[in-house]
Amino acid sequence: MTPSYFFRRLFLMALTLLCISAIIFAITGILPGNLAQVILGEYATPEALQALHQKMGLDRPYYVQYFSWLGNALQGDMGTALSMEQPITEVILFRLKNSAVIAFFSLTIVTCIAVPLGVWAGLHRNSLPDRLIQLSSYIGISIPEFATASLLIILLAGPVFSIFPSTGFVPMSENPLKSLYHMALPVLTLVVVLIAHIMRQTRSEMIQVLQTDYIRSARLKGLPERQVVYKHALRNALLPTVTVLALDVGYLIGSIVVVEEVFAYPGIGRLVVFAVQARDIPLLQSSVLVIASVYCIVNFLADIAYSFLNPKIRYK
Amino acid sequence: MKKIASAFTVLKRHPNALIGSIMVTLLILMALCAPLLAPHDPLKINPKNRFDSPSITHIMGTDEYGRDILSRIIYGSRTALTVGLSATTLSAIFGSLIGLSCAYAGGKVDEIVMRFMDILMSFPGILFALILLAGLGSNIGTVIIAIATPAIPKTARIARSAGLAVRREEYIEAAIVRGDNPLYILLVEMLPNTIQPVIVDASIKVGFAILTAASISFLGMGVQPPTPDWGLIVGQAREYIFESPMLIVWPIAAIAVTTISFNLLGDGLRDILDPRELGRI
Repeated sequence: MTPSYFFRRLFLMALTLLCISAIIFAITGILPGNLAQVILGEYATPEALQALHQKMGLDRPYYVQYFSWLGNALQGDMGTALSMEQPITEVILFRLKNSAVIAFFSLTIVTCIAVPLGVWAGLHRNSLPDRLIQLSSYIGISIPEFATASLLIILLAGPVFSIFPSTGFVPMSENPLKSLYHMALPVLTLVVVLIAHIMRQTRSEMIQVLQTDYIRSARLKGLPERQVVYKHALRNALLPTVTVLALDVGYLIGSIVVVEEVFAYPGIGRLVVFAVQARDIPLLQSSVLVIASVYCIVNFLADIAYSFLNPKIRYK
Repeated sequence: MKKIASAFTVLKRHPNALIGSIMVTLLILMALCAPLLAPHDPLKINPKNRFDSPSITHIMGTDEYGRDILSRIIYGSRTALTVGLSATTLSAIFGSLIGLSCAYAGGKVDEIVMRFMDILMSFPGILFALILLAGLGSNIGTVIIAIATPAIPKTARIARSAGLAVRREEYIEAAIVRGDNPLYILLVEMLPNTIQPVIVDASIKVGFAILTAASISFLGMGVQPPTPDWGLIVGQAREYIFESPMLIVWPIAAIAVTTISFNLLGDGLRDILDPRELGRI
């Protein structure tokens, strides 16, 4: 990998984050219902509003407010949440760690199941199991996360099979086994949600690779099918999976917001929902910014990894 | 008549599209004729009949306020289809306008605008929707905007690449030399020749828009009670998940059937219009 590619991607990521932070700030900070009004309520006197405005620095020009927010955030100080007497950075770090744990488990499990299944389905295209896999993944992408979560609760936490708890959270440091036990349903939901997506992607990638000229020539020159599949097709089909997995982190972030809410799991997704409901603008801005940064960094790392795996990319 | 007949021959060769279009037509009819089809008033509260089991008067039973579930599901199709269809239409219109303008203008403008679109694309859609809703407040109009906006960049990309191919055609050069108004060139000369991929993309997105809308309502940030809405019904029935699981299962089934219908139609449409993609899902 050339350094210039690395730095160009790094610069692009920084630029993206800068723009996204500006968008977040613009939408949440300038649109109706400003901060002082939210804190003091609808019937606040103009004088009180004015005073609070000055105290919080809301009377400064928007660009000054934006850069001081961004500057402080970069130094790890995101201010205090309006709805809880706690520094935002502390809350976010705790929530982010919790989300990262379930995200990690779900992505690992999904990769281990969906990629082999997708490859297999692509190889045995239109066989009965392939059609069944296709059908189930078709239904899978047509059901929202909260539906999968609710159905799993009815099935596995309900009166019939009471296997897992439907809510609750135990920190990993306190009791690892119990912690995993409480994570089971959220992780299972995320796995069900993501599996269809990754399986479809891997399958169609495999089918596409199998139709290329180099596979045809490998077959025509008489290579055994095993070698064609495992040595030639599989490697090239799995390459884009890296990118797909990174893109799926975006998909996962969306799912995690809903899934954490359903299972009352204290992750960062639920924090965003809480911040919107409580109209806690500083908390909302910071938590969304953190999630967007995580997503951008993951994409950046995936691009770098991809360029290691696929030499063609580096010289573009 | 001949056109309808030929459309039918095409549909017969694509069973997905056929099933999809029949189901979508039925769903739209259901939404339009909701007052005729619903056996009860979806908002009528009846405290005596809370959580009734299915019976002849209430085929799917009643909810926590004694309202008829079937009627609420039928009326719910109105919100789902309104949001799904208007959000996709909105993003298709703005996406293709932006994409085509970029293809037409080229140069620096094109580069800057498309770079900005790429940046928007790297912002997870549901987060974008949530902060828009936090800023704009929750009602059916803002939900439509919140779902449409994150979808614009991808449509713009698609419209732009279709527009670039057309931009080099001689009739566009001729129009420019003739001194036609750029807006006229965009809307009358370029748009009709680039609309096809945008329509295919939009048809695939309807299902996704309906899912997102349902999730937003579920979180309580979309349409507000007592509006009959599938996501909202599930969100509110969460408290009674073990007492009355069917209250959750019915709206989920409605969402799934609707999304599957639109996905079938969208995929079928893509197969018909773009034979290269045939066989890929």
